[in-house]
Amino acid sequence: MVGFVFFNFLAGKGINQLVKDNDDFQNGQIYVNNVLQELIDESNSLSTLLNSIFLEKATTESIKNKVSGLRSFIRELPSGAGYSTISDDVIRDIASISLTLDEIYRNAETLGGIEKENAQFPQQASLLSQSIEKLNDQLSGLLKSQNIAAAEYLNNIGLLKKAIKGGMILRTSFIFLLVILVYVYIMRRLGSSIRKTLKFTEQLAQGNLFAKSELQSEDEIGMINASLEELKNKFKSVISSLLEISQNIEVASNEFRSGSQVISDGANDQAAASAEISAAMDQISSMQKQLSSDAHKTDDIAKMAFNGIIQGAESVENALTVIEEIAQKNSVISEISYQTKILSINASVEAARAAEMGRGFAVVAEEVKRLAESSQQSASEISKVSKKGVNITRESAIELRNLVPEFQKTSELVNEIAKAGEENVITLDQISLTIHELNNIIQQNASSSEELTASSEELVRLAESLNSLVGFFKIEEESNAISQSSDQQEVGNDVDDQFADDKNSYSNWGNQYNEKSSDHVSFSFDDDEPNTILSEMKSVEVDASLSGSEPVLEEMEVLFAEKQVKPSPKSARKSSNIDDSITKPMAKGVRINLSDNDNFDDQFEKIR
Amino acid sequence: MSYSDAVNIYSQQLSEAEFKRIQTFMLDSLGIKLSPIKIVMVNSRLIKRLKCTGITNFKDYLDYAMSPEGKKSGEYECMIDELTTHKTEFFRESEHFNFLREKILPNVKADRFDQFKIWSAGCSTGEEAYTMAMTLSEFQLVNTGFDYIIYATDISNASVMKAFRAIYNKETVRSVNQNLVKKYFLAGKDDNENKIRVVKNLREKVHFSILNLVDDYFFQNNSLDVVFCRNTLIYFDDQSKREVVRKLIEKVKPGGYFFVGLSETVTQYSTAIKQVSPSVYVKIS
Repeated sequence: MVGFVFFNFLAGKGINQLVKDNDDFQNGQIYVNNVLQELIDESNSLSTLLNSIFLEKATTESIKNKVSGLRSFIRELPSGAGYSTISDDVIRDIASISLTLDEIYRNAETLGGIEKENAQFPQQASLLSQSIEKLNDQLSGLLKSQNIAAAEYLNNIGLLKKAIKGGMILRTSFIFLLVILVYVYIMRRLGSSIRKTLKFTEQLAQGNLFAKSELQSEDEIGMINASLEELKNKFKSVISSLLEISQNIEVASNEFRSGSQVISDGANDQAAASAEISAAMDQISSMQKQLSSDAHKTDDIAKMAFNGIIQGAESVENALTVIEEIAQKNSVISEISYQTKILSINASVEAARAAEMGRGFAVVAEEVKRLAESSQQSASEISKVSKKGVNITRESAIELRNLVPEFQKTSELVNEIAKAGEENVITLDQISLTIHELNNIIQQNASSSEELTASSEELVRLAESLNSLVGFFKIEEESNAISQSSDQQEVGNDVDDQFADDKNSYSNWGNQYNEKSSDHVSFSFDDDEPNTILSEMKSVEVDASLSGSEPVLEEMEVLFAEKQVKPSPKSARKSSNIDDSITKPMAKGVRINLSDNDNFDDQFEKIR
Repeated sequence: MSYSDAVNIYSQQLSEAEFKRIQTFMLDSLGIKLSPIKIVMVNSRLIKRLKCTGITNFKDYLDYAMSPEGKKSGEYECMIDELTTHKTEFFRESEHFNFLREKILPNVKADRFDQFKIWSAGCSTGEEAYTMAMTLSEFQLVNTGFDYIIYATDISNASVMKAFRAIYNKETVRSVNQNLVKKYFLAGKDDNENKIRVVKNLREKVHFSILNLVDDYFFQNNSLDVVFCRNTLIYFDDQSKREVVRKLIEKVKPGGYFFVGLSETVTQYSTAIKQVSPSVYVKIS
């Protein structure tokens, strides 16, 4: 078998050599023919020159030149491209031609030295002619022998081809059969391995990491399978941990999302609640102010009552003196009635002495006595009552006196209540302020948590997309059909230039602003004093005059709405209020540039 | 307003139908998506507007705010302000400013004659824009040939105005490098002692304007070196997000940068960009 292959190899090589030799020969043949043809042409032109030699002396010079040209042509032949293909015989012939050329040169030189009229001239001319003829003969002989050699060569080749041809057919069919046999052998041997490997790699390409190589062999393909198996296992462990991680991320980010939603909701509720508290605080604060002013009024009333009591006490004391005076006057009456009684007794005695004459008088005296006794009794009764009155009045005077410090105390207490109320108002204002600040913080928290929620949604989305990407790989056979990557969204290639930016190009900023800002003036959000009806009324006039036909009534309604919209002025502050400086409505898409902006710098200083 | 009125307003509840109406409005006019769980938030935020306007129920309020009168009076803007979120802070997600300082600015050619243009899209109350300004100004101090301009836009009137005024609570710069604070802020006097303000030189570097990102932009295509649009896209629905990203990137120069929030990705929305760092993209010519 091996011997046969070797033989075939040699035969093949022989044929190749033959074909190569044939090609070389043909190339050499063409080259030599070309060279010879050139030489023959030159030598012919030499003969032509010789014919004219008798006419012109200069012709010998041209022959010499021609011959020099031919010699250098021959000298340069070895550096020509086809020279290597020329056979040694031909090279020898060319060398002899070179010698002939030297001869021609010498003859031409001699001829050139002889005058035309010289007797030696014809002899010398014929010598030159002979040498040129010799060249011609040599050249044509060479050409002839070349042609003969070529014909012989071709003939030999034909014979050789014939000889080889018979054996070749047999060998070629044998080789063909052998190739088929070898192919079948190799295919039977390797085909199934390759198919198994292919199946395995296809499964891997589809992401089935549970696939197993069915090939168990020791050869190279078996080694490839083993390496693939190893790669797959490594990949599998990486992917399974990646899958686990990405699922964890999805779960965690979902939890994060719901957590942040809870926070967000809580923050919003908190914000609402704090706003409510804030309103309640405002209410309490105003009630406290009311209470405080009530306490002040109470204090005033108490002071009035205090004065009244002091006056009352004084009046009672005055009354006491009067009553005491009455009592005193009463004792005088009592004295008088006692003396009257004594007098009436004396009158009775005198009437008894006058007997019958004084009987009437005695009656009068008796009556006077009775009156005196009665007035004495009344006087003593008055005395008793006035004594009682004095006591009572004295007691009430004392009681009134005792009341004074009590009232003083009450007044002081009420005063303290009023003061405490005022302090409360201050505290409440501070609380209110703190709640407002708290409110701001809560609002910020609400914003933050909302943003957190949005971010967490993005995170969930990323986790899901990661999950679906990793999900391409199947770790276990239970998994269902291979899902295509969900992430292959169409990318916005359709860049249409529908937005003609030129009309809004940056260079228009300034102009736009000027236009819009002058429009804007008529909105009547005036810079200086926004909250006086008067200025609004003025601006209505301005607006009406600007807008021409628009009825004033409508404008009034709008202004009414504006008035409601404006944030309530918290308290009278400076006119350039920082908090209010941001409420101006601006035109869209133009640069904001208000001249009042630098004014606020007055309220700031360099940081030390 | 009496206490009982206040209590009445605070006890108002937004109905499903009213919330749907707000959802549709936000999506159609602003491209902003409100998920159903936001009903609580919308409820509590709009109650503030009820209190301000003195309108005692949501239906009347919505009718008014969306009417031509409401637009004229500014209540329309007030409502939008309440329904959008304005969270921001100085040097928020500072990695991005480090990237700007260390990766982008050093590659800006010293001999370029045009200004370095940067846009804060969705600037809220301006902290991001002024952070850019501080970063770029610091760079300018050591590279005198360098000049820059900052554009800052937001949909909310009140936010942009606050940004333009550049007056903040002292607390907001507590975690900012104190040397920068001293250099770029003023302290409030008297009544404003808890306030700070950005210095004039820096304020003038920032051009503010009101802009809805779903509307047309006033920039020329391929004109901006850097665009920041951080934590803003999350409020858009998918369709609007795709469109907004496309339009934003259109404005970035080839080789310019596009920043989104650290938790966002936009690779799936555009083929014109390539990620170079987490949430930082470069525009491929």
